[in-house]
Amino acid sequence: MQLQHLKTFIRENKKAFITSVIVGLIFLTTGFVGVAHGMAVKKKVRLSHAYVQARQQEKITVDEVSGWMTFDYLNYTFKLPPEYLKETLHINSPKYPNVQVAGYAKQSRIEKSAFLESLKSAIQNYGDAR
Amino acid sequence: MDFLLQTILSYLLVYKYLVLFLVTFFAALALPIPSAATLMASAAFAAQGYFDLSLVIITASLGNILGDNLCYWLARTFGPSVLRKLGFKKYLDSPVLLSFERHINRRPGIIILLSRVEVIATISVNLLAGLGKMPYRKYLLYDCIGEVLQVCMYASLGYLFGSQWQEANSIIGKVFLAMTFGGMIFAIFLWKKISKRVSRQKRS
Repeated sequence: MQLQHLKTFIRENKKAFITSVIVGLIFLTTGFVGVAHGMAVKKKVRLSHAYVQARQQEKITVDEVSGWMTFDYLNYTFKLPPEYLKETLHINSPKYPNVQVAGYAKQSRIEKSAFLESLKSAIQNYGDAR
Repeated sequence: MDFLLQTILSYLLVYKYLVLFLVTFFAALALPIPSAATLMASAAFAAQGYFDLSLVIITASLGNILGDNLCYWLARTFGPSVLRKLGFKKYLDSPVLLSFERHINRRPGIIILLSRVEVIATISVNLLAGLGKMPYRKYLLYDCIGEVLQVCMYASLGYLFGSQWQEANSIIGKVFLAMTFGGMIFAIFLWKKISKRVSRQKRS
């Protein structure tokens, strides 16, 4: 019975659904082309290259590690053992790894930029050792 | 990246879909929260495998739809009485506002769908739909379709551009700033045009 109601509803509003699909495709295409074009202009490359470059760099690099990230996210992204950063950087937060990097530095009264540099070195050293 | 967005992203990484829902819900209620950037970031995290893209789309759509519906019902239930108490009776009963409401009720689909792209347009249309007592089923249908499309658009961009989502977001931010500015000029122009038409109708 409810399926019948749904079928009737869709039939009565067929125009709405078709318009929505068309509008949706227009949004998506415009958004994608617009952003890729903006990136291409900024990086002075061809439109197709801008997208290919973005796809090739799927995961973040060590240089892009920022204070707003959490240790859990970094462990996942760089495929680190769960306790590696905790042991290497002597992190003693009970909330580890679900704690923000900058938040931990502030809580432990460590200078944020220095801690970030140590973090990046630790990640880099693990990558080099593998 | 601004401090608010950084804070939201930190909580997003810890509390995941709950934060995404809350951000999209409160952004739909006109709070100045970067919900598009949060959604794009969530989709970028999904591209990296840290989030699930289908859950990102469902959660963000739900947040937006519930926020829009709350806006609609608040405007419909309390809008006229609150505006009268605040001294806006003259505008509430103005032929220009009634003309706007009639336009929205005549073509609800395309107006609601297109307004989902820009936040000020979304809120304005939600409020006008509520004040004008647009039939709720019609409003809900187009709102659901529009919000799912909007969420899919931002999520697709975040997913497709992956770790470059911040750059994609800054480009989109500039485009929508220009659209907002253009939209405001268009709205002022439309208001003046409708006012003139209403004055002419009154005189004749």
